[in-house]
Amino acid sequence: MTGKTETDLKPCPPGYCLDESRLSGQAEFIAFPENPEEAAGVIRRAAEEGFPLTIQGARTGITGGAVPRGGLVLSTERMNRPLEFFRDSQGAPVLRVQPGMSFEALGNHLSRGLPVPERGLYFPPNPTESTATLGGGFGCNAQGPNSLRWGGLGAHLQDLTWITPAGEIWTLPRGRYRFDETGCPLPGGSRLSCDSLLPAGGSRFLHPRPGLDLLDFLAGSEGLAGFAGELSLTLRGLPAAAWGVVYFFEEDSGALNFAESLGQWRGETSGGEALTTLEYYDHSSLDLVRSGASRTAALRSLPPLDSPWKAAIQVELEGEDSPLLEDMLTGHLELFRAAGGREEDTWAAGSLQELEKFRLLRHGVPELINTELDRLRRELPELRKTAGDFEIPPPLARTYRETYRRDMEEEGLRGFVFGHLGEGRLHVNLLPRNGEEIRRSRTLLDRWAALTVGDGGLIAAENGIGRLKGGLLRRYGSPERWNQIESFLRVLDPGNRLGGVEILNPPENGEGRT
Amino acid sequence: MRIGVCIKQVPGGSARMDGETGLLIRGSAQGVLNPYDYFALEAALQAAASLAGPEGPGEVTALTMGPPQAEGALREALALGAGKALLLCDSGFAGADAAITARTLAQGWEKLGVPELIFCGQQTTDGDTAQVPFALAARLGIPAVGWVKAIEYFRAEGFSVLQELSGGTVRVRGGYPALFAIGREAVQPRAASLPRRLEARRAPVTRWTLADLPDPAPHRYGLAASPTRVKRIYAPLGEAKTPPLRVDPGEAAALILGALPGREGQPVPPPSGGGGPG
Repeated sequence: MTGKTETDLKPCPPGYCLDESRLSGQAEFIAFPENPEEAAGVIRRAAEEGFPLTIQGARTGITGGAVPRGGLVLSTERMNRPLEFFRDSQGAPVLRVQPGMSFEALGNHLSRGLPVPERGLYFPPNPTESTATLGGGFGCNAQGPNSLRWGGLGAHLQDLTWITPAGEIWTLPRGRYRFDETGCPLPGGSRLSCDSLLPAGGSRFLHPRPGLDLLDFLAGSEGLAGFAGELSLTLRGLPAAAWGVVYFFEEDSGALNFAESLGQWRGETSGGEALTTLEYYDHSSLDLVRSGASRTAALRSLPPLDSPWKAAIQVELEGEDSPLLEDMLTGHLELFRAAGGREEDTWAAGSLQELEKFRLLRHGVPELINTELDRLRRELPELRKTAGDFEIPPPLARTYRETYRRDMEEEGLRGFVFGHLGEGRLHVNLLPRNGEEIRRSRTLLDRWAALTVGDGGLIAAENGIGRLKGGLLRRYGSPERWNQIESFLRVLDPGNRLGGVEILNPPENGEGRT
Repeated sequence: MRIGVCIKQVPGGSARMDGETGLLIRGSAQGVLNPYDYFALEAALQAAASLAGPEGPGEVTALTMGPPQAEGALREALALGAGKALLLCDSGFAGADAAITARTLAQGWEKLGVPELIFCGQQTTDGDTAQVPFALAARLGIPAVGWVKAIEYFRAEGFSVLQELSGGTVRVRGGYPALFAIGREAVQPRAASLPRRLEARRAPVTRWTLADLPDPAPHRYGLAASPTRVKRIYAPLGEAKTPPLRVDPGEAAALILGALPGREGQPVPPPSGGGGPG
């Protein structure tokens, strides 16, 4: 390895053995490479020593993907710099960054670090956790609330430097390596052979299809097939107009009716005006924010939530034609009234700066759930994050919302349902209070996972599979897809340094249980 | 009862200052409503609701002095619930310091009819002087209560608010007219509703120039009339009085426990076995 010696493997402090999943593991050593060459050297060293290897970003993940299982942690903490800004051959602005750069640091760099004429550019993917790293975002192909318009993070990369589990460095320009029906060429002349026509079978994890770019295939591979060493981000100009509106309802059914009726507004106008976000909050989520806002500094700038609202729909729109966006909003308002909403039960922001305040609501719900989880864990140490991030066909979202509610009521469990209703990706979080409730919660999540796959949905559509959800994929995904995933991992990580197969298929009573 | 709010548009991000004049280069950052003014507006709207007569809450008027783009701050006030908006806009007003800003605003209120209740944000995030509310009250000859941290009531017969002062909190009760400089703890600002925000985009904003004011003498406004100048703006110089201690975790725990009241000299428990199950 260049510039590093074995002394650079330091004893791993306990703080690097856990993440936001509230799982903890252990590791003997940790390394902090500063560039892809050093990182590749660390990986080769791990191979020589026979160390299991875990790739870490900012440890903000909620499924335990960054929690080590012994051996060596490779932290991208010091690979956190912007590298180069340029315009591509089409004139599109591109920023090349290291994977340990956080979304917050990226935002700061775009507003203050670029040459003055280039300020006002932004990177659309917004997973709401601003301390997360871009490399971590690629690892789970982060899809924040605005993925309705912008999709996952991987789609916004122009090229990628990939560090393989064998310590090779691949350069992957978008468009050079693509799947056909039988596989995909790899850098260096080898080939990843597969049946690219196999349905997703419950997961997008390493799911090929003809025409898919290798770069997009690796997006969301969770540090189990290598990791991003450098990323070239395609930037965009800030929209001329942006709106954020939260619509509150006194009945859950009103919120769901309204969201369904907004379906007609999906897609872009010819000028690019579009609904970018369509989020749902159930009454438990609103109650949580109501009670937690006064105790949480970051939520104090939220407007009052003191009305007896039972559900909410949050939308964002952006585009270049301000009057057209206002016409769209007037249309939304009519649908809101038709769904039983009252005009005064809305929060509206007419600029990017103002709508940031409302984004606190979206960020606050999972944050407060985690705080509550920490409180419960003091009495119940075996408690883990008990959550599902299922994606179901959007027309079924209403049915699933009802199923979650009914099942939780029948089991006497406390839970929260919120998330990307517009894409059928609802987060359902349970907070069991004793051992028996933990058991019942797991049973429910298993039931919902089976139901989701049966309806053609995805089990871990967001936030990753990690150590918390590994078992779900093996138990409820299609056997053909599981075999395919296993074969991919054997090709991409022949030395099994990253332990993908074991993590995704843990022992029945191991951490892979949700 | 007439209720007024003084607001200001401030730079939203990192603005630049002219090194020669010490004046803000307004075009260098997008303008937004001064964050403190959200609290002033909310207090004004709550006062209007508390003092509502049979016809409902009285109208809240928002007033600002600034360049044409300061209309954006007034539209924000209209979206939040102000009923009327007035912009004092003239190149002759440019460069006014706190004293002359207060004089200009006072002229605006005098022409409009001085409200019985005026609310200001405690300070602005650009000038940061926190002087304009008091200078304005002095110009108008009305009492002022600054650093308002809580509102107890606004009733027809008078008000009661809590004022944060060095070393304590003071309950201030009084009658009208009065001016209040509202702090961030006093109220929780509402969000604009969608219909109001859409309407505010098209609502009329009255604009007056120097010639419209009761005293239109140019030499009494703007930079030329201002008795103070900004010489330089710089970041506060930090001085670490206590150097950080660099100790291992065990020593750190012992130091912390030893500093807790009633724990002096007691043995420090051994460290626990580490994290949860892996």
